[in-house]
Order: sequence, then structure tokens, then C-alpha cells
Amino acid sequence: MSLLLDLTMQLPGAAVAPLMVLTPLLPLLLAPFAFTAIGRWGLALGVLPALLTALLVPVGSALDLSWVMLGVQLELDATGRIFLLFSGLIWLATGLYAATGPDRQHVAGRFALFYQLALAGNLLLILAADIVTFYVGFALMGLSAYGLILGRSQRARRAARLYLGFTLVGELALFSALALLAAAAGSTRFDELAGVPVSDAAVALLLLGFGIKLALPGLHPWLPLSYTAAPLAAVAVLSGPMMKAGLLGWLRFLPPGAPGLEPWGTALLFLGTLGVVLGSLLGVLQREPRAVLAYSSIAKMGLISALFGTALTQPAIAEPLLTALVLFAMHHLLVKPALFLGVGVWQAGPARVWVLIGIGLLAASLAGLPLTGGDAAKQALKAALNGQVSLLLVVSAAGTLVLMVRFLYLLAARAPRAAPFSLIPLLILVVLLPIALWGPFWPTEIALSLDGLVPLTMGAAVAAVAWWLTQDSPGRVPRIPPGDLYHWVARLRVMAPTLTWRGAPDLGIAATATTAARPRGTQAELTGAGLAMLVLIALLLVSLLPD
Amino acid sequence: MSLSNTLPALILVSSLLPGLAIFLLREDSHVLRTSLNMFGAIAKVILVGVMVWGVFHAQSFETRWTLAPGLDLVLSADALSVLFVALSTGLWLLTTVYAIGYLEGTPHRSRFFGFFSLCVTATVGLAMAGNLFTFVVFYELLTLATYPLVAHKGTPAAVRGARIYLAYTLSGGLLLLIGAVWLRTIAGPVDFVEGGALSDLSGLDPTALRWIFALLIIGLGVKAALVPLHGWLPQAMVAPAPVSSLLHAVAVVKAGAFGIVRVVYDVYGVELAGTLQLLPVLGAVAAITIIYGSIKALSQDHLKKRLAYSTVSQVSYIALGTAILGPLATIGGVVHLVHQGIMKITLFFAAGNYAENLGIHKVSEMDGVGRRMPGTTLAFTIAALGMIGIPPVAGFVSKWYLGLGAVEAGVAHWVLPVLIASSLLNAAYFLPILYRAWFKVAPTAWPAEQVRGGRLEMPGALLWPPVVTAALALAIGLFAGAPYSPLEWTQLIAAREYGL
Repeated sequence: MSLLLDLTMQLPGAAVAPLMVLTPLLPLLLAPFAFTAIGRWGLALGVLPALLTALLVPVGSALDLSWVMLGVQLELDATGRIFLLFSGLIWLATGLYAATGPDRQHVAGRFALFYQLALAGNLLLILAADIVTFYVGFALMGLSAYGLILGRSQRARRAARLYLGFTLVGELALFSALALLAAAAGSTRFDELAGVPVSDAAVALLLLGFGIKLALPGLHPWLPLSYTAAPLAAVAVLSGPMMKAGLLGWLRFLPPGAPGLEPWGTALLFLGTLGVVLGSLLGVLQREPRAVLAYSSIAKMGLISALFGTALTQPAIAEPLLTALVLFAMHHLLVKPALFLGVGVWQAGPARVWVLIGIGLLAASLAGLPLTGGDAAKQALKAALNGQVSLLLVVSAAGTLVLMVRFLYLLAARAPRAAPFSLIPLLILVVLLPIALWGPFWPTEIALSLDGLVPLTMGAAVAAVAWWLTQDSPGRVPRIPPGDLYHWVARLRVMAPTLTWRGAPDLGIAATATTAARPRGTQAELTGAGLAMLVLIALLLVSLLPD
Repeated sequence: MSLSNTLPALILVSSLLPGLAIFLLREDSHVLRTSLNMFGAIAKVILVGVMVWGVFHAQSFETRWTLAPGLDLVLSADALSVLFVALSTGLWLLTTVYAIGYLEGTPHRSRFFGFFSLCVTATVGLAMAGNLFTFVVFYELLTLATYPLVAHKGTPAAVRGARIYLAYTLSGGLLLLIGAVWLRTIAGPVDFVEGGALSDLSGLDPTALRWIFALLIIGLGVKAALVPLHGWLPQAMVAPAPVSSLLHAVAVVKAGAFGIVRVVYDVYGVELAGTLQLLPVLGAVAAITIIYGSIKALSQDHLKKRLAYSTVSQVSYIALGTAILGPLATIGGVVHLVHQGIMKITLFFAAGNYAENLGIHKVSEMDGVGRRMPGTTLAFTIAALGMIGIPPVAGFVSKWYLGLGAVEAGVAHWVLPVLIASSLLNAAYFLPILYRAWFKVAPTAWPAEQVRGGRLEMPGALLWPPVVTAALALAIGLFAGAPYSPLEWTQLIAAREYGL
């Protein structure tokens, strides 16, 4: 079924516990050395125990570290193992890329520090078997990513600020949700959560908290800004492993079949569909390759959310559906970072034509064209869905196809950056290519299916019509800057200055120095964070009152 | 004379005697004064260590002087008093080291360290007070011993700040005294008893009990800086940095919060406090204080003032946890007594270092200070993240238990929003500082840089205390489940208070 090999017999039992502990611990231990000579190569070292754990430790291995924090429980379950393996692969590839890529002179120091911290958080939340440990990992990962996005440019700083505002709101929503869950269950262990009814307030907060990570429509403005401004290595891990952690959160805390989840499933189906449509539409209008990829992520996460919502509404098919959904998510986890790294290699590197062909193959896989992993993942979903929501699948695939064509067109039209020749990033891409192209499946599992051609024709038709309509007058194409909502709110703010609260909390960090230079941007960041905060507070108030 | 009836007295004497001796020293006998200070501080740590071990193994310690029939001065050790004694003793040792380094070469050091020792004596005295009378005595002593410390610099601003402090705390002390006397007349001598001294008495007038509760809480609320009784705290930031540390983390504010915990749990008891409907009011006041303090902190550019309003907000977590019925909230509130103390003292140590080393007093002057003073700034960062409640720093543990307790008690609909708003506000006034310190470019010249030789960014006596307390704040969060951690100790307290 997947790339997982059964090597677990090879490992002596005594090595299980140290490997599991080292998985999140080694990056933490490497973090203080970020500023030394180890910093650069530590980027690739930190994730090695995680990969060994994923390959060698038997599923079901558990550890009880009762004296750490509030009693840390670690367990490697089947889902966690898949997440660990593929997340680990991407962290490894990205770490190697960062250590050898065009920015290699700058990665030791701050980038390496936050990279290790975010990695540790990501690995900890995958292995976590209790609420608090999961939360600690999720918070560590989410907050550390701020330091990854924070580049040297003004644009990156603005993106990081907005990211931090959204992430903080997400963490606090999650905190409240998990406190509600833990108090209802009287325990923080996952195995004792099963069967405990989840209150509406907790569900709403979980959807909000993880929905920010998954960039549900309305909660997404941070994403295009970060993806277009942050260093490419940061975007690679953001778009792959970190984003999928939001899905893992839903899988852990919202078991389909629990009473009262159906209406929420319907809401999520609706929101996710909106994400597919909006992500595709706004994505096509982008004028930067990275921005197109960003909106493509929003659309894909919309599809994943919609399908998770479907699983909530129909507990009967939930099990096969979620299994297929995890494979689908893993495919995206592999391809999207590979695309971003590909952009980096293409901009800097040698063999540009070949790199572009490789990127084209990856884009085809993301769009689910025949003989790719994307197609296989889609087939698995179709089989689990028994023909339901098939229109959504087709629309999503067609949308992705159009986005990928747009992405390749924009990429090829760009002038390359003058950069020194570096072979290693190219080699990383060469190794990553087959894994991302077919993963999480073995190439032998890929069957030729012509279903993929339906959205292909549809997408091609849509693209042709759109091109024909706009070719004479490019001015008719609306200009949507990456981060859409954020800019509109910013503009609204300028038109209605009385709405501005002068002493507004500087949630996204330090207004005083930048206000003079860019009053508009700073106000808008506050608004973005403020809006999200309002959503949070309103949700809390509304859903907590009746009980 | 066995250890069990002398140990509390010995702990008191270990700072009282050095303190009195220091008053008699000449200004230039630096070595002798430092030796006395350190001897007292270390002796106290050892004695308290013995006491912690004893209480954990269910030994009882009590020193009792009968002043008049029915009027006993009682020092005893239960789980709650040991928690506070251990906190103030440990932090006092570090503050002493810091103060010795901070005040090197300044005038009036004998006066300063004399009152400094008296201040800690009063604090451990009220921590070990076994009845309400003893508590009130040491509470007033604390006020008097702290006043000269706030006024220490002798500048007009310092004298004014100290006067305001005195006016507030003496009025508060008076109300506390009236409440205590009134309670004495209707209920006889009130010992602190786990589960509540009044819970065994019946036939008391509920109205009188409500009034007395209000008097006691207002009296204590002045020191605990409950809004609107908090006015003195931001004014008192004129004091030297070690005194601010003492005020905010070890002694004064904590004494008020500790008193509230005592009155609710060991005088009234959770059941009686519940039936008298006293706690919702306390909870509302605490919630308002939490939000108000944080909002005021946002607009302060003066670093110590921002930290002062942060204290106003954070100390009320303790009152909030006390006001929510149920063991989990109790754990959250009481453990914050320790967590807030360790995190806040780190912040004040660091603020003192910035002022001392570079002349930085304002947040807006802190650009790029992280590179210049990495050790201090790292300590500051850890403590600030803890204040926001970011795991695994200690503050998260408090917040988690407060959240759980709120859900358990069915008051999540207002407590969780308060906690969340407070966390966001904390983030809003701490993260900009961290951003400036680490990510902004340093100015070409600092406001008033001290030129020093040496390998470290600061003299060791000033650098190590914040580094140690920051490491401690991280460690007690990271190993909250370990034996003897503050969390485990608080769980013991909650179990005893609720008779579990």
C-alpha cells in the first residue's frame, strides 16, 4: 500500500525507547549549537532518529515519561508512523537543501535555531499520545516557524508578523479546546479520550485552532504572504509537514462517530468546498509562481477539510475514507515541498531545462494526471467514497491542473537569478523526484487509469476559454495580491480611519518604529490578528453559553 | 527543646539576627556585611530544606509563644506555608547575591541590608503564621520594613513613591486588622486549619462573616494589587532593582496573594466560602484585575512600569484560582504563587541589568540589546514566554490547571476567555520587547554604557541570578511531573484542603 517497509524485526527491543526519546530530543539538543560550526549540518542531522524510529520501531511501542512536563506519553501508532516517515523525509531533504543551497552562508544562526525547534515540535506532536504533549509540540512548532519565516526583507517581516498573530490565536483556541476535552474526560491520555463526548464549544475551537494551520478560507491570509516572502526552505517545511500537522490534530481529537459531530462535518464540508473554489480562482490570478503554489495549497487543504467533514457526517465510511485521506495528504506533503525546493534549484542551479521538466512532472503528480502518485491517491479516495462528492473531486483536480499550468508558465517566464553553481541541491531534487512523484505509493502500485483525463479536458477547456477571453486585454484580469483578504481589510482600514483603535495591541510586534514608514501595513496586520481574535472570542461566547 | 518546636523560630532568626547585626555595622565593613548576609541566607536555605523534608514526611513543626491568655504567636509548618517559605528563602538568597552586586560602591548599604533582612524575616514569619493574629503582626511588620527600601535612593521621586506605598499598605493593614479583630470577637482565636477554621463552628451570623471576608480581602488586596487597590505598585518602581524583585516576586505582593489563599482555604474553608457565595465576587475582581493590568501594561514604555502592571495582572491568577471552587483550580492558583515569583524576579533582575549596564530604562531603547547582553536577554526571553503561558515554561502549567479547573467548576464560559485575552495581551506587551531585543539593529551608542573589563557581559553577581532563575522557570515547567516539583507539592496542598 505504501512506502513503509517492514524492517521492525531488525531492531533490538532495548533500542526502542532511546530512539523514541531521541526523535524529538535530538533537534532540541542541536538547537543551542545553531550558532556554531555544527549549526549548518545540524539541519540535516536532527531528523535522523525520527526516520529510524519510523522505519525500525514496531507500531504500538509506547513510552511513559511521567516526570516530564505533565506526564509525557509517547506512542508510535500506524497513523503516526506514516506521518513521521514522510514528514521526516521532507525535513531531511529541506535541511540538506538549506545547508547546501544558495543561502547556505546564512543558515547557521537564527534559521538553524528555529529550524531545530520547529522540527522538534513537529516530531513531538506526531509521537504524542496525550493532550498536553501534543499541544506542547504543536505550539513549539507553530511559534518557532515565526523565526523561519522572518527573513531579512521587509516583506518577510510583515509576513512573519501576520503569521504570528494567526498562530497565537490558533494556539489559544487549541488550548481552550484541549482544556475542555481534558476536563470532560478526566484524563489527558488519548486512549482514555475515546468515547468521551466532545462538546460543541470544543469542536468549534478545534476547527478554528487547526483550521488556521490548514488555512481554511477566512483563516488563510497568513499563508500566501508567508509562502511568497519567507526563505524557500522555510516554505518547504511549512507547506508540507507543518501544515499536515493540522490534519493530524483533527484525526486525533475528532473521531468520526462521536455524538453531535455531524452538523460540524457538514459545516466543514461547506467551508472546505469554498476553499477549493476560492483557492483555485484566486490562484489563477496570481502573478508570482510561489503565490500560485500558495493558493494551490489552500485549495488542496480545502479538499482535505471537505473530505474530513464528509467522514464526520458519515461515520459508516469514515475508516476507509480517513485511511485514503491520510495517503492523499501524504502525497501533498511530499509534492508541495518538492515543488518549492524545485523552484529554488531552478532559480539558482544548473541543467535548467531538466529541472523544469522535473518540476513539470511534480506538477503533473499534484494535478493527479495518469501514472502519478496523485492519481493513485485520488483513486483511493474515490474507492472509499463510493462515488460521493465526485463533482468536488473533479473540480479540485481541474482547478489544480489550471493552477499548475499557470505556475509552470510563470516560472518559465522568469529571469533566472545569478547564483554560483551548486550541485548538491540538484542531487537532492533528483532523489526527491521519484519519491514525490509516486509517493506515498510504490511505483508498482500505480495503475494506469484514464479517469484523470476528465479533469484534464475540463481544466484545459477552462484554461483555453479564460486565455481567449483575456488575451486581448490583460487589464481585464483583476489584480489580486497574495493574501487577498489582508489587503482588502487594509484598504478598508485606510478608508475608514475612525475604526482604528489608537492604542490597539501590537499583536504582531512593534509598531512604533515601522508606523511612520508604512502606516497602512501595520494597521492591517493588527486588523488581521484582531479579526481572528474577534472570531475566537465570538465563538467562545456563543458556543460556551448554553450547556 | 526539639527540632520540631524550634525549627520555625530558627528559620525566623536566621535572617532576623544578621539583619539586626548589619544595622550596627559601619558603612565600610563590606566583607563582614556580605558574610553576614550570605551566612543568613544560606543558613535559612538549609533550615528550610530540613523543614520541607519533614513536612513531606508528615512531621509537624510548631513554635508557640503565649503573649496573653488566648493570644498566641504561633509559627508552624503545613504544606502551604512550606511552599511559600521555600520560595521566598530560595529567591532571597539569589536576591541577596544580586543586591550585593547591584549596590556595590553606593552609600547607605548597612541600612539597606538591615531592612532587607527584616523584610524577609517578616515574609517567612507571615508564611509560617499559624493563626490570623500572627499573620496580621508579620503583615504589618512587612509594611514597615519595606518602606525604607522603596525610599532608599532618597530622591524626591523615591520618597514620593514610598509615601504612596505606605499610605496604601497602612490603610490596607488597618482594614485587615479590623476584620481580624471582629472575627476574633465572634469566633474566638482563629487558627489556620486545612479545610477551614470556621467550618467547624456553627451559628455564626452569615452577614457578619461576609463583611469580615470583605474587610480581610480588601486589606490583603492592597498588597496583592487587586484593582482598584493597585495604585501603589507602579509608583513603587522607583525603588532599586533588587527591591523591585523583592516587592514583586518574593515578599509584598506575594504576601497579599498568600493571605487571600489562607483566608479562603484555612479560615473560611472552601465549603463555607462556597455557601456564603463569597467567591464569585473575588473571581470577578481577579478577572478585572487580570485584564486591566495587561491593558495598562501595553501602553507603558518604561520597562519597569510595564513589568509592574504585568505583576498586577499575573498575581491575580492566584486570586482567580482561589476563587474557583475545585482542586484543579486551586492547584493552578497556588502553583502560580511559585511560578509567577520565579518568572517575575527574572524579569526584574534583567531590567536591573539593562539599566545598570547600558542605562536602558525604556522599551524603546532596547533595540538590539540581545547581541550586547545575550545571557541577560535569554533569561528575560524565557521568563517572558513563560508569562504568556507558552509551554514548556512554568507559566503554562499554571494556565493549564486554571483552565482545567474552570471547566471542572462549570465556569469555563467566562474564565477561559479571560485566560485567553490575558495570554494575547501578555503576548502583545512582551513579544515586541523580544523582537526589539533580538531582531532589531542596535543603536550606535547606548544611553549610558558602563565600560567594564572581563569576559562576561556583566559582573557575575548580576548575571547569574537571572540566569539561574530563568533556568529554574524552565526546569519546573519541563519537569513539572517530577517529585518535589512545585506542581507536585501543590497537588499535595489541594488534596489536603479538599480532604481528598
